[in-house]
Amino acid sequence: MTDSGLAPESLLEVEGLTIVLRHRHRPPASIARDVSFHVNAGEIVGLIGESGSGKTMTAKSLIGLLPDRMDVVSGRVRFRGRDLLDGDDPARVRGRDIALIPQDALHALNPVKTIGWQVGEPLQVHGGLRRRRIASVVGDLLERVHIPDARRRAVDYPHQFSGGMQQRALTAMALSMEPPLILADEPTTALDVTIQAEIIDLIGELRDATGASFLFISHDLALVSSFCDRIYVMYAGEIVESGTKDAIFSHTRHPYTRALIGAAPRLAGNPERLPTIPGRIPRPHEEIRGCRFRERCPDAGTACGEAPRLETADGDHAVRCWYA
Amino acid sequence: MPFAAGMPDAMLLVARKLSTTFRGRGLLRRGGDVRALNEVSFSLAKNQTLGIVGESGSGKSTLLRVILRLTPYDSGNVAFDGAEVATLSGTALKDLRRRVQPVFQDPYATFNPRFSIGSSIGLGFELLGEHRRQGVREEVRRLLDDVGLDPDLERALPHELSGGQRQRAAIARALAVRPDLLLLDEPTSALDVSVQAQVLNLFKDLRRRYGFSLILVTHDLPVVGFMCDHLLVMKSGEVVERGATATVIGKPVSPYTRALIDSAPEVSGKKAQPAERQ
Repeated sequence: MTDSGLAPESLLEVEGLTIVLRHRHRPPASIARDVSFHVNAGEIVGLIGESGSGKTMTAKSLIGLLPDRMDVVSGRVRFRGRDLLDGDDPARVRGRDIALIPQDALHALNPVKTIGWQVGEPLQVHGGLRRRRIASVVGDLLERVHIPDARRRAVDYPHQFSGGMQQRALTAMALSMEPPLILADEPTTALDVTIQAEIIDLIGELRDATGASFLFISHDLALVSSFCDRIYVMYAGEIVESGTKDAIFSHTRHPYTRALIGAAPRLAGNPERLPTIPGRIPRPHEEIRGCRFRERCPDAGTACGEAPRLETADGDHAVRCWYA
Repeated sequence: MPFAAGMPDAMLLVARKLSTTFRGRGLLRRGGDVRALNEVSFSLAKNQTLGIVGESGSGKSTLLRVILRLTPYDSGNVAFDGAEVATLSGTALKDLRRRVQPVFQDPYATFNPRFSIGSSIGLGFELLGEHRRQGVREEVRRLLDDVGLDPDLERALPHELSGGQRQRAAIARALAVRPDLLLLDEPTSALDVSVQAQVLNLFKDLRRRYGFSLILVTHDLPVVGFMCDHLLVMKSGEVVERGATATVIGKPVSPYTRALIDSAPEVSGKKAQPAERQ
């Protein structure tokens, strides 16, 4: 692909999104700055970054779930050609067009309602289906996410499900309205590695079966590298590199991405010491002149006093660095 | 014959056929008994690093609790530096509590939220019987410096620290009593990759300087690949495989170990494979 994200098959287009955190005594701090990305139909896109990178708030802003003190101050979000930021009530989009699989399955589920009731709730709210029909659809959904003995287990309560099964139930809930886009916010962080691999496998399977797109938000580079088609790397509120999985991992251009890849231990063949990134991620309210990674960057030079823009290097591979 | 006799003295910790059962709870004992550890055997030489991997419910945390004598065991033996852990009492037990120090995943729970970081770490020195106030403060500041923290953080409260800083402070607290063995329970699972790299390097540096042995419990195989010479794989309370880390990861014998290795994502872009359901 050679375009800038305006391909006809583009499902979600985010352009120049800036989110600020209002503060009583300080000027507003930017949580995300000038963030642009797109998700095509049937794609699994990874949005990765460490704590404080702004990845989660970027995703939440798409469905109107920003905390009270945060606002989108500029930018455009187009979903199937429709502008999501002005006009439409985000609650109408949420669940039906864009669904969320949250991080912490146990806290996301209501402990006093059955799994079946909760998986069927979006159908009730958006769909207006009859009760019996809902029960049957819920059974199908739970089967689709491979809950063993799904129809019988629909009357169970969340505590009767294991962590992996709770995450599957939430995935079923997200699928209920057959949304074209599903946001998955670190859906496997609390799970064992073998269960994590199953959930990842399930996401791939669901994409193939339903054609839904996934925006997968994670801090885990290794995990994202295993199954995402394209990846956006965020640092301190900005996208610093984006491209296909292969471009990001085999032809890494941004020094931050390179440092992150180097910092992850491997199963075998590790160096005596892991390469680290000196210093820490800047806080949102810290005003930084020039490149936001400059202070920690091994390659920083004179040009870095001026903020670099995200420039497309070749094809779909873009990088925000003067020296890349 | 006492178990400890004839043991090569280079062994710091030896467990032999260690078993423990959690009794079913409640009036009707509906849960039934759970065999949390089933004939677990392993040994740890002085200066060795051992990784214990397994999923939730594999018994790895129970094993740590047994070593710390926080959980009793039904049968088998575990000996620390030649002395059976279960029979320790009085000063010998106090000595065990000093020489074996745990560091947990959530260091926030390790600290009293109303104590400054410095006074929490300083308590360790009191345990050693070193009460001289000025001396303790200097030691605390030196330890903070050793773990890569600003010594002035001695006055900070736990909630004022970031996750990575708090984990470093927890390590300083553990090192204050000059332990021979550090038990790490998922010490970096809550940290970002770049912070994890700093903390893992720190463990290596500190081991060189302080010379303690280390047991690392985790579900993260690459972390063990980086940190540990030896590896113990546990499942449902049993040891399914053990050996040198490079050998076990390179040529796993047990299908379960193979499944764990296949599911572990690596930045190479390797596809994580879900395990076959048994």
